Amino acid sequence: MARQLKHATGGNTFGLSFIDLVSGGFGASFFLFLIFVMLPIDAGGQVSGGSNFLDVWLQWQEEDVELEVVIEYQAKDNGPKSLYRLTGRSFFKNGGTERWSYSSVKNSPFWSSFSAAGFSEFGEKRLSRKSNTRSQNFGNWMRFSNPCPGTYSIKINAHTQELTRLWNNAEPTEVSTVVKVIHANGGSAPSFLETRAVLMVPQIDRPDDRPALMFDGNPKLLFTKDNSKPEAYLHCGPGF
Amino acid sequence: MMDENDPLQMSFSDALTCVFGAAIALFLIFVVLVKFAPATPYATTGLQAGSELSRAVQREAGGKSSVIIQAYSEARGNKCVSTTSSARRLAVTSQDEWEIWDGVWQEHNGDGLKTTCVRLFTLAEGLRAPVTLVANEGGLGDLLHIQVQVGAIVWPSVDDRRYSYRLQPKPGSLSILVIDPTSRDNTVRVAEGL
Repeated sequence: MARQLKHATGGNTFGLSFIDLVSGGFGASFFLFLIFVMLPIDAGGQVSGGSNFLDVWLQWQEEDVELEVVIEYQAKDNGPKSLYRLTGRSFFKNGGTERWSYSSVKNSPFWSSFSAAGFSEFGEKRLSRKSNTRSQNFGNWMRFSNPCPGTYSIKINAHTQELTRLWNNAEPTEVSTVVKVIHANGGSAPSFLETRAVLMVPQIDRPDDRPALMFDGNPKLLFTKDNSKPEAYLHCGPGF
Repeated sequence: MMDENDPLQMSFSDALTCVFGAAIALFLIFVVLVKFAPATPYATTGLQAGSELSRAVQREAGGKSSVIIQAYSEARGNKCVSTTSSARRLAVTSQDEWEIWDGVWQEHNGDGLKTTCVRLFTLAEGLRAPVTLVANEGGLGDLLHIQVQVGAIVWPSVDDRRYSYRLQPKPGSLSILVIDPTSRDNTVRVAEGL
């Protein structure tokens, strides 16, 4: 009855009471809590999560040569340059599991895991395929997962056996090669590079870590560190 | 007099304010704040929700992914042809044009020269449609090792998966595994019964 009387006598129904102010304060606090508690979850979800790898393909068409990729890696400016080649003495392949391992007193691996195809201790030391034009292509492939920051150069080496060299009278062979490089750092779009070159390949093999024939892939590849993924560089050692 | 001075007394405008406040709160929670839900984390699990993956694949439709499937099997009689090696019976069914490479890996073990046949399927740029790896007329009963490596911004960082099967001869073609960039579950599915 008192309430009806107040309305009837024209009381201010839009006036704020003390309980209105307290209620509004609690409501505003609740909303601010909701907003600032949930925002960091969104920031944590911005993980790129993509693959971080360096793919190198080497392809050619001449049948009587066997080529391989040699990676030259320089971790820091003015630092030492290391050469990596699969037919050297540091790479081993387990024939049962088809997994590669690397062991060297001079160099340390710049990758966390490694895959390759087209290399063999005996037999065919390359991959082969028939293209649409029925011509035969040869090649080999390497993939380095999580490559460390630094400067990379792609080089090509011949590794034909000595017996072949004698059989062919050591005549150099002109070879057209294609080097394809795919680099993905997991965060941005991968980059695709392709370099073509004509090489005069001597029929000779040098079974050590220093290639006989060096071809500088141009341009050189410069990989920088992605600071959002420090766990991807744990294998690179101190300083990365 | 007592009722008019009671500060806890609720008026009609108080009730109206509460209703409007609740409506605004519900609007904010279910319409505005829903976007703050965490994104699907795929870096650790190796899997990704289908809707996000589909969008990412469309974004990279210009060709920014690479897929490599390697298959190994030991050769009978040190020859790598389809009658002596399960790896050489494999093919892919896909809308995209894949390159197929063959290789031979030989090494000396205690029993003499061991020959491993390699068949490698590669799609360098842009996996947009599902691809199925099939074996023609089944296998030869020998152990077949398969390594799948995918790589691009849309794929998980754990990109190296390995499978081993012993494929028995069967008439027709046998589906072994499916890589589906638009699937809502795994991006790589192994066929049932293997």
